[in-house]
Amino acid sequence: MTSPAPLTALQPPAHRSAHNPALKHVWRASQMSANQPQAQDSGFESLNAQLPGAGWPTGMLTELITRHAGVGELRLLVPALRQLTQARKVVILLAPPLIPYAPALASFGIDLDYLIIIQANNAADRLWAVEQTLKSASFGALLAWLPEKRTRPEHLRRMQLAAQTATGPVFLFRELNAQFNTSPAPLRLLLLPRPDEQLSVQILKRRGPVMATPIMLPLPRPTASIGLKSSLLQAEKGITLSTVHSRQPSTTHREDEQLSLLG
Amino acid sequence: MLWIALHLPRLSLDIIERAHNHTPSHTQPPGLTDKPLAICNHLQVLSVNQQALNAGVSPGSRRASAQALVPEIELIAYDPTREQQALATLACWVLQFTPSVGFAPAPLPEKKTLPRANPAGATPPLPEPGQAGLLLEVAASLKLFGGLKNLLTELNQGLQDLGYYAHLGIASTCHGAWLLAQNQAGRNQTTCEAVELAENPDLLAQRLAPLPVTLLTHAIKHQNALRAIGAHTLGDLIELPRAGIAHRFGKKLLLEVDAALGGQPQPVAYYQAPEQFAAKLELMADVDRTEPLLYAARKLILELTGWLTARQSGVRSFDLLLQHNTPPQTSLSVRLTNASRDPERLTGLLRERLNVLQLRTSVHTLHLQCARIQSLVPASQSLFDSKASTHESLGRLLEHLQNRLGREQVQRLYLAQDHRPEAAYQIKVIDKLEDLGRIDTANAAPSSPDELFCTSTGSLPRPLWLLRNPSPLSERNNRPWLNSTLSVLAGPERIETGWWDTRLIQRDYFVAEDDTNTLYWIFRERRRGWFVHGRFG
Repeated sequence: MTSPAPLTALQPPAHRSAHNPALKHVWRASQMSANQPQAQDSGFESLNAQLPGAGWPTGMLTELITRHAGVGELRLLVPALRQLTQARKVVILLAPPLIPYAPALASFGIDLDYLIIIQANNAADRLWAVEQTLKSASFGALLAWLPEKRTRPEHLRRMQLAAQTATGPVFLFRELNAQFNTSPAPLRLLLLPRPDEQLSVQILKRRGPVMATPIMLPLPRPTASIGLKSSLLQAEKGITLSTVHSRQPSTTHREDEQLSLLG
Repeated sequence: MLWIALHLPRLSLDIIERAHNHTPSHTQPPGLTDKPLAICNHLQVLSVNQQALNAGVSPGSRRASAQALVPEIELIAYDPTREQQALATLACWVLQFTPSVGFAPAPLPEKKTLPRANPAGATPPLPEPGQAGLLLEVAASLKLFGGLKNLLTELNQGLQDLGYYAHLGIASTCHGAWLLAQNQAGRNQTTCEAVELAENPDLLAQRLAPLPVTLLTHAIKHQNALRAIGAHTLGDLIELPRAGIAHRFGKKLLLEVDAALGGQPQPVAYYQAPEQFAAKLELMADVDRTEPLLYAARKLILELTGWLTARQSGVRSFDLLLQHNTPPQTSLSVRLTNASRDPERLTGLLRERLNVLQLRTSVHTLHLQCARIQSLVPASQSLFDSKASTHESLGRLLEHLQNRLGREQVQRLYLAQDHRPEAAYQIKVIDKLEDLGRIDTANAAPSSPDELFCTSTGSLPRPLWLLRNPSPLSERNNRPWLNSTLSVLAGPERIETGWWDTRLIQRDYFVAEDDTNTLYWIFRERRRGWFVHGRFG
């Protein structure tokens, strides 16, 4: 106990933090939050690198903001859902806007045995169901589509509170104008479709530094299907339908003539 | 043998009041139990509630004088059949404590008999006013409940939750217990005294001695004579010479005293629970809010769970019928994903249903019926949070959701062996948790993609979102148009099948992109133009 205590106190803070392990707990705005309990691997390395906890956070809300259903928002979640269902954890789809197409889900390797769909047409019922599901915390992942017009900030606050006991990620799908409203969700992503089956993911909010540029992610595609032509290539060359064909349909029908009129 | 006798001195009042006295009086709508209430036959007042007692009406007074004292008093005619029904339901409920339940007063021995087997299958008798009661033989249940003290605590708590007021008498003989229970004038047996008596049956004569002799059924007609000879209590009577008693008051009185003291066997017919459960609760005032309804329905649920415990079963579904003043009654059907007899769980499910219920008019009677029961072995508690408990909580969640949203709103997907996109999947309702497939089975192999029928190599990718019905697209410059010109990225894939049923399709499918780079699954049908059928979510 003979160390000169006053001397150390006079040392500059930067110097101190390098040596003092206690200061590791001080969070700097340039760092990702270190206080992430667990995360579910998103399957995209470039995305994991930008998410606190290196994956989809569990025990909190994640908002996915899209213009409408069908921009690639499900394919973004496909790797995570595949891992979860194959680990025999139940994924709940709450009030999906369209029919989740079973053959496509299966072709991505998602086990349909662990997928539950809950329909709730009434907005009040839907908000209630989201909250109840979050409270029960018995799911591997929850994907919920909120009724945008009826969702109030207090609903989201209650959901965020209820989500804290959840052991899996919770995704709330919201419409485009939700990005301008504040939300208690700690992670908010804006998803926009890009050519060549890519998705632009802009992180609007995270427990970490602000990020201005969106990440471009190549979306997964099912193994057993043919590829799509590059849309850029097509735009340049003005490809007609007949050249796009990767496989000619049988020519017994007269439609072929009509179809070739396209493009 | 250890008998617990339940004496329900104010059963008729309890039947009426237990549906209501749930809220502090200031929030209670007027006209329920704030009102003085009396049960009476055509002449006399039989029992009164606290309000009537405060106003000066006492049991035994005449109808007219009660009405004169308290003009607003509500006089309700004594109805033995109502008490009989309530006793039967209560007998169902106490079956959870012991399988040996009889109705009091048990028939007394008429002459000296040899012990014989207990006749089974008793039906509740039409009780005499103020004589309703149950007899429980609990010697075999003590171990299960951890002693008489715990059993009495549970029994008392349960009766209180049900809304019944009961005097308990505990003795080694059935009639002795019944006499002790009826001893309202004196002080009730405390739990300590009861335990002491249970452990030491020799104390019975000492305990019975101070009871008034008029409690004995066969002593009532001789009560003046008994008083005249100074036999006021049972103890006085016992000390008299037996031959003299038999001679003066008849053999029956002697046999009754012997039955109370254990010198004479008294067979009790045991009640057997019915196969079906149905109970009703009359609300004396019309109720039009859900909170009092739930309170009243909880009483019925407690009775149901008592019956289920006795049958070692759980309920899969039950119905609550609400009877209105005008005919069409409201029926609420509650379904569970797995069998249960947990009153909290059943009440919780019912609460959700009642909360969203729009009551047409006020309700006057509740009926609870249960159709589907199955045997249920309580699961052992697990020390760690196991897979099974997650499974259990998922089951609770699904039944909770089904209960409010409707059974058919909780679904799962199946693949179907068909090339037609709209027939390549099936949506089925999850009825019970086993429908979820291989959740329980360990190491089940996930379905491999090559099981798939419709996504063979070389076909177009399938969209993750399918539209319920293909929606027609307009055409501009001979190209499909959806907010902007759609440009085709891949296709066509011809799907022409289904000739064997009425839904023949002849379509060429394409993957198309609009100018926001959103991908669509579109098709062209012969002579019908373009349609969009899916979105690449």
